[in-house]
Amino acid sequence: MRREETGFRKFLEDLDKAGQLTRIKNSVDCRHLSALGGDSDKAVVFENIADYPNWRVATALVSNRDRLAIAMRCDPKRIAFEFEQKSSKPIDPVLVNSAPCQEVIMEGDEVDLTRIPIPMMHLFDGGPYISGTFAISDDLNHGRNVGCYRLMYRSPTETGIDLVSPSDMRYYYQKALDKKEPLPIAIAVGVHPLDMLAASYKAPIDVDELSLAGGLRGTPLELVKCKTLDLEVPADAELILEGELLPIGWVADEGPFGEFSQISGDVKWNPIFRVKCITHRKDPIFYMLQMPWENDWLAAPVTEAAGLQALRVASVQAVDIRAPVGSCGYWSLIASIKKRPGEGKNAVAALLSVAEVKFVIVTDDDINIHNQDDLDWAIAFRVQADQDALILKGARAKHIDPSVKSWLLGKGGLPTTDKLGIDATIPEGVPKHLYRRIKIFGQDLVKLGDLT
Amino acid sequence: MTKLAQKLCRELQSQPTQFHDLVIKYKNVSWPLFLRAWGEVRGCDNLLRNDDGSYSIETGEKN
Ligand SMILES: Cc1cc2nc3c(=O)[nH]c(=O)nc-3n(C[C@H](O)[C@H](O)[C@H](O)COP(=O)(O)O)c2cc1C
Repeated sequence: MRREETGFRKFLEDLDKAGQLTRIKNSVDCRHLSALGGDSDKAVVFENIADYPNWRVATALVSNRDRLAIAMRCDPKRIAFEFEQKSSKPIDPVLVNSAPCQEVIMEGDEVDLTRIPIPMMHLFDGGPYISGTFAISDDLNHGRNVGCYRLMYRSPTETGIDLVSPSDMRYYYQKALDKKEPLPIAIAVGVHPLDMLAASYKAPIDVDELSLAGGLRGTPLELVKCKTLDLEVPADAELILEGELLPIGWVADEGPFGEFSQISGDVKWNPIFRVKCITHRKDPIFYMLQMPWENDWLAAPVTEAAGLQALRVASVQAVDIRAPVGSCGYWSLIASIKKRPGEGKNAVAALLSVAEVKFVIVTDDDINIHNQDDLDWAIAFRVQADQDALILKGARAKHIDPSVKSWLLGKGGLPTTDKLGIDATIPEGVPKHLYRRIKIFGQDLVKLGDLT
Repeated sequence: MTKLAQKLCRELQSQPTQFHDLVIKYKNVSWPLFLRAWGEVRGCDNLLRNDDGSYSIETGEKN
């Protein structure tokens, strides 16, 4: 009997049903996957990969808000609210004995990454990349951890990994390194976008992102034991790489890579991941996460949910919130609120406190924040620069933002940034009727379409 | 070292080269073969990275 698909394959089915998936039957070379995927306004499954007879490649699955909403099973404008609500109800994973992701096993001398269709993604990349990973590690004190970490192909048994930024897995690695020990990790490729969302969520260190993924899916994740490690991986994944981060520290070149900042990054110095076992489905689908769009759309709900939380703590009633993909779902937040006097400023201050968000607009609930013209109108007529623009100096920043000039800081220096917030709510003391929008006389009575 | 890996090494010895330029130059080689050869090149002790992300191999010869 055919096993009912969950996870990645179920999502492909959902995209197909929604008319959001294209299937390409022609033979495609790994060097052309990225360009062809970028040419499509739908998600793509390449059914025939040159030199990789049993493989297919899927890409651009959540490259826009509508497709992310299909994953989330909600209205595109409700993603942040849904994410926040579901992530507050984690569901613990369950263990199963056998799994599709282990139908084929390569161990020892058989391990060979060149047997996986790892694509050439961008000009200036330091090598072919595995961009859509779900990386699992464990720590005696803090327990299981999952994050997304890109992998750069180095050799048939080794990849680079970007472990520069502070993260839980970086911390686990540092602990292992202090003891001169490798850190065992397992990488799943081809999991449901909600699992990726859970993994990329900056959860407190003791939170198990696999339970978070269960909460987002609304059903427990099925896990299976790794073949060579004391770790568990999602049973319905397409591909698993089992191995260890070598105890060498940040010494191996990695990058550049087309980053989530939409910039082709720098060469970084990073550890090496040695692969000891590869398992996959009999008919595997490799997931080429499309940079920067899928990364940015996965970042947006996390930033938006953090914004909602900040507004709640500030006792401001949020109506809508958006982390625009133009600022990578990360650096800007735009919100509409039901305002009481003074709360425009409270909201701006609250949103400026979120992570590395450096540009904020807050407006009233009559403005559709998804419509740029509406937003421009609010900014034009509800803002006085001397009263409504807030600048916060010297806040935490990310190296990746060229305007913070992190190269001037020297090795290990941490950059800061100035942040700007705009209160585009109706100023206190200005009568609301001055904002009455033009309404066409008779527009509810007659329709042009009725005249033919 | 395979012949292809030797060729790639010679490219990097002659001038700093972006990875994508190698990919373009050897576009007629099958991808898994190219990847295996690149794996050999990566194993060279004297493989260098330059600030612009290009690769080069130091020959030890002085001009
Ligand atoms: C597609 C994708 C790729 C990512 N790649 C990296 C990466 O290579 N390095 C990194 O430090 N963070 C990366 N991130 C962000 C981390 O996954 C994120 O910060 C996560 O919370 C880290 O998890 P951890 O702190 O639990 O280990 C990526 C996020 C996404 C969505």
